[in-house]
Amino acid sequence: VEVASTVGEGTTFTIRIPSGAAHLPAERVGGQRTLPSTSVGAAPYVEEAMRWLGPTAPEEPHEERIPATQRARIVLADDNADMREYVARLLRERWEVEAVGDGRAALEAVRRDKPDLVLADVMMPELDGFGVLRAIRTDAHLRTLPVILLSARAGEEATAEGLNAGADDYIVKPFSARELLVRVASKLAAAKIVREVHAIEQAARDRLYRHYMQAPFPVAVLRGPEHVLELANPSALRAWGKDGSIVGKPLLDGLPELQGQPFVDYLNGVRSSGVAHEARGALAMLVRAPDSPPEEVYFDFVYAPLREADGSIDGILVAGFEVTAQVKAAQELTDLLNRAEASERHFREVVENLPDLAWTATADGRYDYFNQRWYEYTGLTPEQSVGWGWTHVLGPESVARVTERWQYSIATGEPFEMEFPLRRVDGTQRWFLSRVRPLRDRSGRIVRWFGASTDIDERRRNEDFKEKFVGILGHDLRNPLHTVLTTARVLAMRQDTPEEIRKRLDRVEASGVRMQRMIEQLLDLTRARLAGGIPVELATAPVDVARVVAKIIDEVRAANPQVPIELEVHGDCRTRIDPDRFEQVVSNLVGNAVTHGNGTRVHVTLDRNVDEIVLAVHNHGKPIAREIMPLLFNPFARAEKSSGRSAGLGLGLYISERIVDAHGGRLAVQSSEADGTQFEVRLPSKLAVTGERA
Amino acid sequence: MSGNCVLIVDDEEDVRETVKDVVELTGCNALTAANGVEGLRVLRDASPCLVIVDLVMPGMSGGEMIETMKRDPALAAVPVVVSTSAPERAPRGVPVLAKPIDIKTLHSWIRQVCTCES
Repeated sequence: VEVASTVGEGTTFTIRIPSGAAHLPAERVGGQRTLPSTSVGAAPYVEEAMRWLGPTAPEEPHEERIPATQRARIVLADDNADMREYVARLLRERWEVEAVGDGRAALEAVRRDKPDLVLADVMMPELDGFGVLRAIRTDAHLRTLPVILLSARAGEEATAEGLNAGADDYIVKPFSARELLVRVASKLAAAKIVREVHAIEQAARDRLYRHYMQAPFPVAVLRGPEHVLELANPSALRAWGKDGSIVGKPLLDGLPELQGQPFVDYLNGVRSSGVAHEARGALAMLVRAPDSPPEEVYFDFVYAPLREADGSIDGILVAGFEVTAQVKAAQELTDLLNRAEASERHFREVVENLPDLAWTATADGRYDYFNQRWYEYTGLTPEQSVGWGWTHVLGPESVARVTERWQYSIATGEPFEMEFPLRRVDGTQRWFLSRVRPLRDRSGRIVRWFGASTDIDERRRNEDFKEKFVGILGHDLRNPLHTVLTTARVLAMRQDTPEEIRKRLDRVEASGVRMQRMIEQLLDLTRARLAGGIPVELATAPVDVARVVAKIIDEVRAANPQVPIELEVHGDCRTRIDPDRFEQVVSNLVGNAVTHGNGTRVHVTLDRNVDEIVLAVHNHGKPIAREIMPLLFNPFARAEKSSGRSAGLGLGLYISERIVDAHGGRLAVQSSEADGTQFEVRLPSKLAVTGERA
Repeated sequence: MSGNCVLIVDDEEDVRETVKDVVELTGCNALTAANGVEGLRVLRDASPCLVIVDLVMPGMSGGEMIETMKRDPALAAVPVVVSTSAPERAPRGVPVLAKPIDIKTLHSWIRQVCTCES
């Protein structure tokens, strides 16, 4: 190489190359080229040389000069020392450059101190440019490092090859300094943007993690095929009953109880399919405290794949809610409903076997169920009965008051109870007592009505009978007797009535009086037996019992002048009684004593004790037969018929006992051959208001 | 016998005639009516000394008749006796003569109020 340079004229380089091969060592002469040609022709050099002219230095890229510490660092690899020097000199203008002579050295430099960009010649000994590129791209820490390949091989095909291999750019020699600088600057700028984006992404990821950690529901991130717990927020740890020491461990190490449960299978499925797995109310058996048995915990959760930038799945996001309480509540509700259903079945079994007509109604009063008895009795079909259809079996005289009363119950929730007739399938009517009770839930709201109708027809008929019977005794029988008695008395009182007729009129009167007494007794029996008791009306002020007794004794004496009757009174015998009713008792007892005393003396005593008044009526007649004693106070029980006189109905003692009882007292009897017969009435001296008629 | 001393109001003819017999034993004259309305009409015409009224009667009952008498100043002062087989249902403040009537009691009441005895 010769050079001739004259100031003001120019410079000439002259290269002389011998032709032929004879002057060359034999081993360097040869057939195959083993390395790509670096020959780029003269044009690049000429162009480059043009730059040396004039003061016009290579144009500054639009970047400010950057202080050395912040300057980007470039590793440059080229085995050609001239080229290396040349490129290095160009780049050092603006960047830190570490220039090395082969691929291996380049990788060492890159690994020692990660640069911002690698510029590598394709053709190098030891490790060529493609090798460097491959090594960088397969290194996790370096893979994003921008790499520009330099090559003498021109053409689109070569460029595509370089880019396909993962190069960020491919610069073909010869290149201008400007082109090199622009391309390197552009890649560095792009790399900077990528770094900034990564920083933003990292910040976003950090923020996301922070949010995960604060989430009020369990969140976890599992990484890799082992499902290493990369993140588990406090809520997740709480739900699992674990502490932070499980973070960083594979899932099955942290929660070994999950072995055999389906969750790891779900996770593997998400990893392989990329499809999220969702579950509701999934049961997990978790050991929530050290050494405690696994407990049932329920979760709603999702396993969502976390994708890398390239779309591959490396993690799984776990997010869930613990729903144990809800699931348990739902189970309880189901149990409750099952039990309710069972008890309703039981209820229906019972109700179906009731002799009553039974039914249920909804809260708004619409009948929705009837037992078999209902259908048998009414002859209605279910369709005819439901809702308000049942009212068709009400008589026209009761339908209005019954529906009105039922609507009142529906509106107020008050139980329904009423007596009314229901029409039977044969068209007859029978009286029923219908009762309906509300069934309420815990809050007091009515959920159903349960009703039953009991056949009370017989009772109603008895009541009707009783009313009629009392009416007959009280009025219909008494009026004709009144006429008989009074007419007999009037005739007896008339001056013009002959003596023999007067005697017969006495018989009419005596019979009439007896009949009158029997009617009164039947009336009392009817009241005692059917109407809830003989009405007793206690006087508001104390009554002197002695006067009542004396009055009756006078009457009996007048009717039986041949029988001696004595009265002894000791102490103050005033107390509250019903004087008319008590007269009945005294009259009955003294009358009996006279009737059954065989003419013996009747002794009546009245004694005041501390808190009672005792009336004793004694005679010395034939004692009461032993077999009659237990029945003495039963209705229609009567002593042996006395000769010559018609006995009564045998109701006197029964009625007397009822009257004494209504006064709160007791009636007792003792009878023997030796001591005669004594009836004893014990009345409390301070009578309470029991038995008082309203 | 003179004057129309006692008015007997009862729906049953046997009862009316029987009570009439009882009244006439005293020498008093007796008038009869079968219900309250008829009784009031006779009462206004005849101005008796005493009225004996049955309680349960068709048409106007004894109770209603007594109420009407109390409201009528011309009749309010006429003595009234209730004659009934159900004494517990008698209106308060009116003497009651339970059936069968006690002849002596009725005679004493008639003697107390009647001035028409011959």
